[in-house]
Amino acid sequence: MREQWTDAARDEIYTELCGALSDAGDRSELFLSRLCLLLIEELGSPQQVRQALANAVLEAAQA
Amino acid sequence: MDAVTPETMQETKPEIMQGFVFHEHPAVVPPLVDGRETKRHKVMIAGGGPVGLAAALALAKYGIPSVVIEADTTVCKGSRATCLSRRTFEIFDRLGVLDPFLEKGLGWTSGRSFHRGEEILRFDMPHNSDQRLWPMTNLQQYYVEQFLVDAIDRHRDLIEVRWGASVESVTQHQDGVRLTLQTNGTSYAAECDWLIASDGARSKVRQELGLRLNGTAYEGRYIIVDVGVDLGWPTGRLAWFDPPSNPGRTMLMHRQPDNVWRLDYQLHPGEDAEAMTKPEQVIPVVKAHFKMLGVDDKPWHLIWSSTYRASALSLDEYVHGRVMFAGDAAHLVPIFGVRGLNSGFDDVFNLAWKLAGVIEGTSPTSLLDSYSHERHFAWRTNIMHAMKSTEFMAPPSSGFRLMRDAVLSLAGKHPKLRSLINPRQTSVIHYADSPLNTYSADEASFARGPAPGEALPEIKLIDRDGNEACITAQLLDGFTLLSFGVDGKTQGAMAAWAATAVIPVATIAVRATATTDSKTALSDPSGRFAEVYDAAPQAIFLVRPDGHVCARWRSFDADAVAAALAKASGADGSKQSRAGTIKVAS
Repeated sequence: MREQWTDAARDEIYTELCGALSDAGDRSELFLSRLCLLLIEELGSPQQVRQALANAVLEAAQA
Repeated sequence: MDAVTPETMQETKPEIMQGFVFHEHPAVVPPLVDGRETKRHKVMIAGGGPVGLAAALALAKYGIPSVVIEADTTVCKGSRATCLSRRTFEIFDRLGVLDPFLEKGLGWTSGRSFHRGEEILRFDMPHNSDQRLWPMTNLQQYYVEQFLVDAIDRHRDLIEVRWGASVESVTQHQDGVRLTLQTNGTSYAAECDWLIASDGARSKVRQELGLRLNGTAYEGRYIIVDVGVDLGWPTGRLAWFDPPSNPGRTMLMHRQPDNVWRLDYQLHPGEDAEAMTKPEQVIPVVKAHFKMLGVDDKPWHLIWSSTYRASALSLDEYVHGRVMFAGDAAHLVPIFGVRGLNSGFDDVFNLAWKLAGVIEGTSPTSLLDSYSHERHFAWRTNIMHAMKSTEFMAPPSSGFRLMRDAVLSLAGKHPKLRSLINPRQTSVIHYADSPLNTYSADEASFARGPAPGEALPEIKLIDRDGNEACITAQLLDGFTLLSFGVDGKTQGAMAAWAATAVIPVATIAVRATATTDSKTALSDPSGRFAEVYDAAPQAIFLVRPDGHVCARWRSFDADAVAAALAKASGADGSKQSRAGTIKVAS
């Protein structure tokens, strides 16, 4: 059965992601890049990917 | 004495406590013969902090006398555990001590979080018109202890607080516990049937029994500071991540009574915790923060400071022979979400009715196993939530920090991510797998409402005089048979059954509509009870002395209720292996 995307599920996935990122250590950039590629393939929507890219762009204050 | 666990305690002595008067209690050695106390006690309680004091009051409700052993001669200094939950206030009500807490405490329902200069979250605690109590109330721990001591003064026939007495050694045997106590340089032996260890994170009793806490201690350390200042701001949880005033730190602010504000802020890696509690280190941090908030023109002064490190540690069992552990002596929970002291109150409220039943002979000693079972489950549940809060507030590794910073930077414009910032404040624990629960054949027919193991949800009813009557305020000290919409015949059958039950059981009848029937005390004209409890007419709930439901049915069946009562009181023989025998650790 497909798991629902709830606040609790987001919470769980967030913790798993934090742990995996910590485990990646000094290869965390490669890990995140691989994860992005896999997720955008799953998403399969150029529009949504471009929107997410725009949202993720760092403003000067956040750098 | 510590519910918030100070790690190193470089306490700045309180010069002013904003009007709070610390009474010095005399340290008295009891009458001795050959270095032994002549009287043997039913229950001794090691540790006269809030948990130990509440334990004594809870036992007194059942007529059980106790002696509280407290090393200090005053209540604690510093605000320490400042946020009290609605459940804790329900327990205070049941202990008969609620009024001063309502009068002095500052209730709140919401909080705000900021990242750098931007507000990224406003959250509301669960609160609606069914409630009579705030979801959260701020009150310094010294007030909590003082109000409990005041209540104990009214129970001097049952409770003795032995101030200035410390535990030197503990040994237990088949029928009791032997302690060596020390007061003003005089050591003496004391004996009791049962010992409750509520002597804090560094429990001497735990050490004496050779027991260890297991789990995780986090690296992140916090400074906790009380500041005297009148900001004129409302009460609520305020949090800043990486504020311009103190880059890289996480800061929390809570208003307390008497114009005391509590600030908690995270230490940078490498900062010396002990040195950072000194005024010359604390003042610049507070000053910068107040300047950022635009309140640096307000006169303020430091009252108290301490340090804190988050830990998720617990004993594997809370009952060891005739010694029962409660509060920080049994388990430690990270501060975020305020599950520390609040879970300590739940510990002793869970324990008191069971221990009273064992002492009175109405329940076997095996009932105490359920205390350990339920409260260790509660600790695991608390940890699950508290660890998530802790991992966000004080990221334990690079991955958690990177992700946390990403969430903070996006949350302002992406509301869906804000749930990750929510501090996950404490809530009542559902003892889903309690051995005291009975799942009746009717259980599956309930779509909602309090399942076995859940605490009674609050609902406002109307009493026979037309006044508001909240359901959690109606419970007495024993078991309660709560019915909805039963007819007169069933009500009579319930009363007859309750009158002959092995254990005293009170009955509360709720009618759907107001009635002139003098036997019916409560009515539910709003329909909220029927809705929230999924209660069709004839519904029956068996409620434990601590307000948790242990079984529910669609209609009254005396045999089924008797069996559930026997199970919940431990009298059904299902766990008789320990009945009458006590395992004493060597």
